[in-house]
Amino acid sequence: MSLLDSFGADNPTIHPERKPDLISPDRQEAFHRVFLYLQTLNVPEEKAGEIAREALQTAGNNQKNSAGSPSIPEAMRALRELLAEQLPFLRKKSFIQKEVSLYENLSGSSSMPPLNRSFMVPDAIDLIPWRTFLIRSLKRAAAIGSRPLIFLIFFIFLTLLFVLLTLWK
Amino acid sequence: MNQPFTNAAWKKVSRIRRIFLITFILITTVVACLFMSNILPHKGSTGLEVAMVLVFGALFAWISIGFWMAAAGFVTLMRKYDRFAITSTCLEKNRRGELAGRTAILIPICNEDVERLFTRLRITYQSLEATGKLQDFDFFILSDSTDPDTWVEEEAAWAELRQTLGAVNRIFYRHRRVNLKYKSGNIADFCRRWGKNYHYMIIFDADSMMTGPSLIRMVQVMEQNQSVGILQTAPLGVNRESVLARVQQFANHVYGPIFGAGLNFIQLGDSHFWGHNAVIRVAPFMKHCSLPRLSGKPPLGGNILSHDFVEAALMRRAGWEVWLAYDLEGSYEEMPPTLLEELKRDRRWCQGNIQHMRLLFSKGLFPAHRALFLHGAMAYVSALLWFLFLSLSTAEAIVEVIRVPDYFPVTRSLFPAWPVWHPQWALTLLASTGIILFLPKFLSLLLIIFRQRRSREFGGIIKLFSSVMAEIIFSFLFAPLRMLFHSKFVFITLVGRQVGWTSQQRSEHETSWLEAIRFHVPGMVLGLLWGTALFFINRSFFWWNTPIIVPLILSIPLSVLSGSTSVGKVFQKIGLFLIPEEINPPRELHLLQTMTQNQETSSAPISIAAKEGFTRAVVDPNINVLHRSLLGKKRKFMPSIMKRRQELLEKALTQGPKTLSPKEKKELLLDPQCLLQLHERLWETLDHSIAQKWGFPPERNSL
Repeated sequence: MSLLDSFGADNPTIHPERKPDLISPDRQEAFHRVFLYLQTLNVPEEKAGEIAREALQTAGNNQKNSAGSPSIPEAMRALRELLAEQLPFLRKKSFIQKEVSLYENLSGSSSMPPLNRSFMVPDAIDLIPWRTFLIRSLKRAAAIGSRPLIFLIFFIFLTLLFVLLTLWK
Repeated sequence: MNQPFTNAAWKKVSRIRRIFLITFILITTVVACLFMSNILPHKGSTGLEVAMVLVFGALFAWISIGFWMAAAGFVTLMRKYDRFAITSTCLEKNRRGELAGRTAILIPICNEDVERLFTRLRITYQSLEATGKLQDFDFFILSDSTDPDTWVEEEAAWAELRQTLGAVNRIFYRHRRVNLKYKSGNIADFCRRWGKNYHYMIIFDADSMMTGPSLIRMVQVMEQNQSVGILQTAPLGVNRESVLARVQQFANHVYGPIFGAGLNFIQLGDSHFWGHNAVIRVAPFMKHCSLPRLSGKPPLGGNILSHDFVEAALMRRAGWEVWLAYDLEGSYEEMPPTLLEELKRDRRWCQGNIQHMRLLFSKGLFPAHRALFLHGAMAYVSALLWFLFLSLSTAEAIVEVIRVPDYFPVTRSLFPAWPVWHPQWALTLLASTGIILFLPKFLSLLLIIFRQRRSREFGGIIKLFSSVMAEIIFSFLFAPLRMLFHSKFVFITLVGRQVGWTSQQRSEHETSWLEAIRFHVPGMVLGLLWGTALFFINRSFFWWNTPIIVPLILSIPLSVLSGSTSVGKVFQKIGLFLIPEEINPPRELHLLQTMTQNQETSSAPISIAAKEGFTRAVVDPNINVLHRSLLGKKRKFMPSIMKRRQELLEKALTQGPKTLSPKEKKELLLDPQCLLQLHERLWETLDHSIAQKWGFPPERNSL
């Protein structure tokens, strides 16, 4: 009999003959929900069954009206209390390594290193009127053009251009 | 910060090289324009023809830049020695020592494919770990994701990766609530908060991947050259399966090296920054590269969109050098999978590059960077010029048919003036344009086959040659389509319409016929009308224009087929467009391929798809706790906000997650108290139909 099929019977290994239909539907549902929650936390099946039964028992004890079985909300609340107590232990036992460590970070973990603030002020980008820019560029080009090598290149270029334009029919 | 040296040898050399480049461009352009004017019926004497020659000149000068740069790159690579290759400054003996500075690897993301992103990050991390120098690097995932599901998915993936790799204080994650200034703002935010902790930062795109050794090498080059502010690598396109992307990654591998070497030959320390796969010296970046808001409204004013070019220009303005490490291996990126995705990206880039024209006359910028702004804008404006040229030439062709020839001009002559057309001149011009456009491709081919002897890495000489020929056909077919869309983008930017800076679809997906019809019908109709008009009015001109008209008419099937992965795989099977990374993949790419193929299927008791981040944050206790803990301290909200959120919570509980809009989901995700309440109440619910809406398994007795 799987743990889930025991529907939260107090001790499934001792009472394997106990039929599910003898357990109240409320208790079945509550067990399912609690067990599912624990499975979502990756708690191994055996341990999950153990915790779920404990949660159901706590929920039952907490009930003012002792006649009925614990319902889902009560069982879930009891489970949360239990988990708060048992999580460090579970983690130590490494039943559910990464998930438990996440769950434990409830108090607020940070995904970034501590702040080391500084500032970054935008540099001014002064837009120059295009005419001023053109005059400056021409002056600079004239200064560059006065150098011998560059002058030679320009001379060759102009000569080539002249030859081309002259020979062009 | 002092600049270590300002009189580097490269500055003098670069000046001479640039003058030579301008001279060559001018000579070829002038010659081409003379040819062009002589081909025209009136030898360039009418207003229409003058306009045609001018536009042609601008276009020819534009393509000549690429040609001469490629020629320079070819010569450099043939010599197998480049004294100005920045990587050669990092000698073997200097590579063995410890790194002096700490480096942050920044991954700014916005609504990306989380699974692929974290797989790439994992591989980069492991590759870096294998070098033994991981302790000098930290990883920062800087998310601007606006989609609530993606936000939670990123958090969960980050937590899992951090846990799996044992990288608790090595891989960090930050989500910005307000995406101020997009990517550049995201990086600036990082710099303001943690920039002081690092000497260098390496910027990744969501589709970037780099190997550990190449990351180390980049930092070593920076340490060796204290005057370098930005070092850009030339990323290689990999991992794609669609036809178009495979063609582009092939072109990137074959032609990229000579263009890269050519760029370096001309630019030297005045190079580009492409925004990713580059290392930046943090202190000068923080001091000089913060971007101001431009005056006026978008698209030409407001926040600077294409920030990378401007940051390079500002870094250079401050005296720091910007280099292209064109020969550094191990830097990868992924190409857009379809034509439409490429065009969507181009629309953003177009607006960003045209906005740079506002900065063309800014004070203090280096001429080389002004030229880069112009070059960037011309990448899109050239399309409009081409469109204009085609329109003018069509007008000329129609006018020539309608107009009665004037055989007896005013000047006295014994003979009538016959209109003479020289087809051989037109063919010469066509051939020379072809040479300018395609010779670099054949030079690359020669380089690979004869000098580098790497043809086997591309499947052998025959397959390599066939792939180059097929790539030329592809570029012929797609050039008119790109021209039309780029013209439209330039036009709408100039008339002041803004585009959204949305994230790009990077994962492999195909273009549907419906999507292609929606995008390409105007182009197809234009092609049909233009072709029909020319066919009936001027038949000879029609034949000259068929290489443009036919692709326009076939734009819909071309777009769909080019985005097809199955056709892409067929090309791969027959050995076309093979790249070395496909034949003999490096360890990192091999791992990426394996990991992507063998994605683990979830065995969780509650089966919620990873992409349904919001549902997971509500249902899964781990994700719920994680998300709430990352939100930080508890906050007090105004009663009106609390009331609205309470209503949303009730709506979520009673109607399920699918009824919530992304905005509503985000509002709930921003409130830790609400999220906890939702989680607890959902797990306590007695209503099984509600529970099932949230992904709970059905009741056992119903199974």
